Amino acid sequence: MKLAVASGKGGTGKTSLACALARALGGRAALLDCDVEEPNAGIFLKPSIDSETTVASPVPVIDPGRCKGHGRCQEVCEYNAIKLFNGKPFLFGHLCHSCGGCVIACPEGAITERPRPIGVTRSGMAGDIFFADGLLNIGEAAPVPLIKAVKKLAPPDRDLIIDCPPGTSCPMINSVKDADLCLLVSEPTPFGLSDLKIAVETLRKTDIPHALIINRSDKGDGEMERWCAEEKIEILLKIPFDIEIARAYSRGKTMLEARPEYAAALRSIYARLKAEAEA
Amino acid sequence: MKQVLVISGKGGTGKTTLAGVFARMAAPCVMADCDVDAADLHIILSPEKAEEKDFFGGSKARIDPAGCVSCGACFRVCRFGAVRGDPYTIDHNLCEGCGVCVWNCPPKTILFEKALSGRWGISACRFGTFAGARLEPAEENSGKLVALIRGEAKKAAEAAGAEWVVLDGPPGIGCPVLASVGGVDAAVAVAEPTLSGIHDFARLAELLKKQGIKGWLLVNKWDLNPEKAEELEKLAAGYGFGLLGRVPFNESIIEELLARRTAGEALPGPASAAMEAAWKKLKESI
Repeated sequence: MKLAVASGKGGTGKTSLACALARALGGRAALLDCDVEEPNAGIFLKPSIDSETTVASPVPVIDPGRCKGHGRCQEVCEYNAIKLFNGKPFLFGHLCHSCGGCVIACPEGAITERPRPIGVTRSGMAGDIFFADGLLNIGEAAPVPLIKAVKKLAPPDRDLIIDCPPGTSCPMINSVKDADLCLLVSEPTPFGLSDLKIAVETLRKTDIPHALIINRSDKGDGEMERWCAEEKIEILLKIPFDIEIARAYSRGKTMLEARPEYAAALRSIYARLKAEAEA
Repeated sequence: MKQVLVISGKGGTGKTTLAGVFARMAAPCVMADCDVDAADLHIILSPEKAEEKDFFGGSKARIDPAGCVSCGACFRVCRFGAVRGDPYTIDHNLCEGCGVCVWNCPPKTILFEKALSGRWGISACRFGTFAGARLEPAEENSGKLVALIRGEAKKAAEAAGAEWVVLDGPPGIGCPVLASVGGVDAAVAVAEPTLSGIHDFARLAELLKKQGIKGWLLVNKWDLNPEKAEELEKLAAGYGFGLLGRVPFNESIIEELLARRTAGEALPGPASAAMEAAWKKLKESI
């Protein structure tokens, strides 16, 4: 099963829960950290990295000798990444989305592409758990190609847990894409609920089944549970605030180190979800 | 007029809570929510209902099946995996809006339509003027929407003669963050004393350094791990950050949030007091 762990709101406990789940499942699990802007799963799982690969996006290279200044490249670029000044094209690399349109459009064949590194993927083993993540270069705007590269590292024979970035736009969409189920992690505050609603709307738009785990479940009001009942969103687990879990987190430990009793609950939730996904 | 951005790298560290306190302290000011993916600042500021305006971030391709000859040209040129088929269709959520399939379609049967990517509006709130935006779920171009809302906030501040623009930033270090940090007078990073918090703060600090933006650090929930709090402050000082102090873990903050108020607005406590002191220090220093 491919299980995505997402939230809309940041800091609700996605990574901590995804890592606890991987630990609870043990040797069948593979954890992919798709939050390439701020990857944290490695802090909890402490994998030994045995492979690191640079990921690059193609960007155009314009041969000034062949360019006749037709400006087709400027016309077709939807991102304003190529502009002509005095009949000469200039590239604004940070605006380029690597669509390849200018290469096809140039009547002189004056445009080729070169790879521009955007970050690295890393993979290895954390005990018997397969681990992979991505690290976006600082200053790079577009994480999606790197997220796709991390997802390609998924071993075919393991239960996949995909730790997603916060938000509901392109990075989150590309992380949850093709998941059998998305496990949402939220907290029962007005902020948590507002962001949960947007995350649910996004998952509905992309046809991904979803269920909820409420973290710090005693620190809020009953609005989230009422809303979930109305919207028929199943609440799989409620985890009350626990200062020992928070302290363990600060040292890079999952909740299982502070409260090992959650392992059985996580295993049984996973087994049920998997049985339903495969039925 | 000065623009102060509250930011964090890692999500959920208390950005919006701090931005709310800054807004209250800076009043009358202009406030803008730059976390357009998951905008929350309006929840505690309760702005008046704004006239909603549409934001069209870009166009999306759609195949008109009537003219499709199943040649597969669109499938071959699309680099984003958005074309499925045969029969060929375009996944709206994966379409990057590059338009390459549109002009490479031999029977010219692909439409390129402006996509409604979000909405925005400006209205009054008890601390001044609030500029809010919301990206439609599963839409893109959040960076462009952030740029738009920042432009509008600036205009509103100039019109009102406001001294401060308080910006609530998005998490991460990618496109919406880059659009949020450009040209601000101060970026206040809120970080928690955890291993994840330190890791993510370091990446944000690198980004701010690269962009030449003066950073400030406020450690939230410092008493969760005093050693890590100290580590964060040392790291920040190394990046040339100004230190704005430490906020203790305090539950009354949640009470205020549940009542849709900024921290310390009705229930002053040690956490909100530390946030207010941070504002005063920042104000004196910039």
